[in-house]
Amino acid sequence: MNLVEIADLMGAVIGFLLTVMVFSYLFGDNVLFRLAVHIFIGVAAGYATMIVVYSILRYQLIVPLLVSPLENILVAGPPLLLGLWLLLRISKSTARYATPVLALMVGIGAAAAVGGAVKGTLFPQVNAAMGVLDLDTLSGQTGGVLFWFFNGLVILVGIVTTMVYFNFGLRARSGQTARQRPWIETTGLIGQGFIAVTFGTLFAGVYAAALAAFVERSYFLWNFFWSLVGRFISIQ
Amino acid sequence: MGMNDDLLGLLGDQDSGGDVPEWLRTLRPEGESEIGQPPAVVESEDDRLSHLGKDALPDFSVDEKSSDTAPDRQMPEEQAALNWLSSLEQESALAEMNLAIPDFAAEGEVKNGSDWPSQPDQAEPVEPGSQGDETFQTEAGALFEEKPFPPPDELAEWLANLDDKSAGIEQEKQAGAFAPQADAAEPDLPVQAQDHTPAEDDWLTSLQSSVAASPFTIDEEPEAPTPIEQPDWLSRLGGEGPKPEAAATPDLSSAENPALAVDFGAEATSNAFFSQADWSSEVSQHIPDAEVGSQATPVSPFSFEEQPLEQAESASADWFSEAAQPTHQPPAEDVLPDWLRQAGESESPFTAGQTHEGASPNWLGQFEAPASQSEAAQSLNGAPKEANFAALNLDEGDVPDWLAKLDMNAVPSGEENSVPAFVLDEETSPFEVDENLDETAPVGEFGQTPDWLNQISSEQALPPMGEPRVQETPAGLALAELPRWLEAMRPSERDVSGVMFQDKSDSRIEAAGLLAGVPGILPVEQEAARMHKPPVYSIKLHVAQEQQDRVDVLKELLADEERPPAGAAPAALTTVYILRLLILGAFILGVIFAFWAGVQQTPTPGPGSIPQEVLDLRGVLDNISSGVPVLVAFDYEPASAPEMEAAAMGVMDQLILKGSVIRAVSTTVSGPALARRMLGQAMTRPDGSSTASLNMAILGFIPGGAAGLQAFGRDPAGLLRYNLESTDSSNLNAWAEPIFTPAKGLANFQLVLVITDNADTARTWVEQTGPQLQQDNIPLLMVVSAQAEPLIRPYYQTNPRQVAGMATGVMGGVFMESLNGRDGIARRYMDAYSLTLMVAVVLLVIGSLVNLVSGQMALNKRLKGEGKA
Repeated sequence: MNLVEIADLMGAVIGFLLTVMVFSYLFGDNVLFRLAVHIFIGVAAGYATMIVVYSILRYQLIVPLLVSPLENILVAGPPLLLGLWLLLRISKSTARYATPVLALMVGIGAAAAVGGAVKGTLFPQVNAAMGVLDLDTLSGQTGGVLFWFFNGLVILVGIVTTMVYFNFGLRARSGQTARQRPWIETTGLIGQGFIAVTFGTLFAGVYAAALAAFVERSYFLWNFFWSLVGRFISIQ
Repeated sequence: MGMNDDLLGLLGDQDSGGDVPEWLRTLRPEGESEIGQPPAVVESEDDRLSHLGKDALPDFSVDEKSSDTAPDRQMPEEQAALNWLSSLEQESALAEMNLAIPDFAAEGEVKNGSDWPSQPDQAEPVEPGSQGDETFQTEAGALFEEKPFPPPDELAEWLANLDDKSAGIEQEKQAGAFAPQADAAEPDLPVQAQDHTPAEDDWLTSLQSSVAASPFTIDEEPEAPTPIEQPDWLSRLGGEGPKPEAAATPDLSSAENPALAVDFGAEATSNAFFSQADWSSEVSQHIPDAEVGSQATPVSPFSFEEQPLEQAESASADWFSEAAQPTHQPPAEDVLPDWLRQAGESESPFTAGQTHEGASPNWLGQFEAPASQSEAAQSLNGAPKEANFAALNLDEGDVPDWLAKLDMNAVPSGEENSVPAFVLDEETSPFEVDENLDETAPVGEFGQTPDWLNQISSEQALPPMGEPRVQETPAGLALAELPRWLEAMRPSERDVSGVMFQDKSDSRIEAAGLLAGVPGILPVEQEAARMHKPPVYSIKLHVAQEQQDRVDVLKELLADEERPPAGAAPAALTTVYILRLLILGAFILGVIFAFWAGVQQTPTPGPGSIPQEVLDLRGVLDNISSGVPVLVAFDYEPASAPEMEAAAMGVMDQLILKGSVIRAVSTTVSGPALARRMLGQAMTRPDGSSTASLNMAILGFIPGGAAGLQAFGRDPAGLLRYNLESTDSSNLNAWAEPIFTPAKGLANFQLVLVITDNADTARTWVEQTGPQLQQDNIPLLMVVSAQAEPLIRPYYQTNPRQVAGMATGVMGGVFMESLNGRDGIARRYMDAYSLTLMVAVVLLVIGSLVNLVSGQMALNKRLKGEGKA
């Protein structure tokens, strides 16, 4: 058994133990499960730190300045200055002085998110919703006109009723309890049905994703078990 | 001349005279409203006072002046001087006289000053039998010793009520009637002025005119005695005796009643007592300067050498003119007792010997008629021998027996036996305060008399009534006979101190400054030096048992809030626990069966069953050229690695087959490691060998979220320049290959593939890089998790499509492997995945049916229960 095989075996053993420890949650919260979770959290944090140091600080800040400082000073200089400035948040007494850097980061992030949402999601999705019954899209459909129309109609009704459901406006009448208009309330109920279907779909997707992880782990355990048996038999 | 002697002389003379003088009519037992005609002396005194003018009246007499409209306020001074007798019988008079306590600090000075300032200078002696002496005795309590008491049969009625009234007086005293509280004294002030000002004026008049030395040694100590600290003899009299004595109790607590009390400080006292500058100057015009000057200084305790008399002019007494106004209340003679009627028929002692209008007494006549210096000297020296009824030309037949008896035992007057009315600090004052006096002395027994009176009694050894005692007295003085009731009021021998009112609390004398030599000055410096932090007194809260119980309950509740909840009970073998194990067993059996069987239970999906998005994905992959740059984003978490690897492995195989130049990035920290893992698995052939040449580079982590992704989309080579997988330092630049043009940005790539399990990450890629990719006509493909697919699909269904193709979950990988014609991980998992998925579906259906049935059964059971009920 060479070193690689030993490393693979040790990795398989560790993986097996950790998998069993996680599965022990079926019997309730216990020490093994907590230990496995803590190990994952610690390893993930350590790995993330190393990735940041290695991938960002080293290769995006230090190495460019070392290789060609004059060329990269304008690129690496501002991030370095802002990064050092942001270190003031380490102390509570000086944390407020780092507010401008945070404001800059939040502002840029918000601007990018909003701009991207408007240009990448809002306008294209509104345009697509309005064109579900566009005859130009009929040529690409394989289900026929009826299916195309029905599909487009369901999409349109689902979008409208779902958006109507999120209309929480009430009409107040003197002497009566304020409530939604009847047609809004009815339409909202239809939209609520679409939302329920959407959540069901999402739940099914989560269920399927979790089931895929379970299958993968079960397959690992199955293979590990038979590998150990095979090794034991081969040794015998 | 002794004031008591004067009164006794007057009484004796009246007894011998036979006719009761008009002033004695006021001695009748009726109330004040029934007092007889105002004697002529009032008018004469009014005349005497009228010439003083109101301009010289002091300001502090406003209160008294405001009560001018009251009829009682116009009572003649002689009547008021004797009102103490009438008050002994009248309940109403008690209350009124109680309010008329002469406040030595304020009201006493103000109101009484209306009378005594009218007398000559303090050093000027008063003639025997003068009104001043008589009134002083009345107010100071000496009246009980020297005033002749009516016979028992005549005084039985009002004397019998004496004890009853004393109790009421005591109650009033305890209720603070004597305390000059601002809230109590101010409303009563008019009443006080109306009812008793004349009486108070009288006794103070006598105080001024009697002797040179004042019995009241009023100290300038700012710590004026509180009502409790008032002279003991006055307190006792106020509580035990008739109301006039109680009303005459001086209250020096000016600090407690600044509105009423006149501060005994220099200025206030000077305003109060020495505002008589005008009148005193007028009177003093008839007195030789030598005599006046020799005796003027020690006359009054309220006289301070430093006090300017100029202030007295501005503070001239309005009350002077008020007191001078004649009374408007005619006496009701029909209610006079016999003895008083008889006395009233006689000529008033004050009218006897009058040289002016026949109404003024002798002593007053001295003021009215300018006297020569010799006469003034004679009056200053005093002539006590004239203080008898005989001198008043009273008919003995008109004088009651008790008056006659008193007259027979008239105490011989003389300066050597008289008690000084005012004594300075240097002198021994009969009013010196004895702090050792018991304030809780028995009341209602008249057991205490003023010290000065007690001194007189001890010195003169007045025999009790009916048993006259002969005592050695100074020559020319006759022994007086004390009535029993007055004898009972005598203070005990031990209380004889000679000084009735003297503050001994502070014997310090100012040594420097303007007040040098003045005792009782506020020790500012010394007190300031002694200033220290006030002691802290512990407050002990008395809590009842019930309250303590409530506190305990509250504490227990608070302790329960902080106490951590009890740990979960050990897992028991419950139905839910068993059901959970059964579900786990079902899944495990399905997986084991799928793995153990080793055969494909589920058929491979045919081309017709492959979703359109997978076909589009595959079509994009087929359309790219070999060896073109491809950007792959590994944006999923390690927990989703099994699913994402199964889904993306078919795509990666296709890329490897195409010989694509792969540049791997990630927006998650763990992305580079997952990329390395997936690429490593993709390069591994089914036989275990790896693909020899794969042009790939892991650019690393893209920080900054959406902003970082946008920056990467604009300049990927500038943001992630180096290959983290490179082991050669000369080959760090990931963009060094000729196929890359850093200036082109994302346009360097022919395809962008995003592998993610997060819908937000997928949307961010679409939003931040989509427009640029669409602009450069670069297809964006996605391999997403099953849980993110519903949210990503709309980007695929848009027109134009923002996502050119996508593969979802394990089944997407299966479809890709099916299209590729080579089984992979997805196909390996497919049987177990499909089987466990069906198990899950069955369990969901069974569980839903069980819940439906159990719920229906519970509902029916409840309905049945309600029906039975």
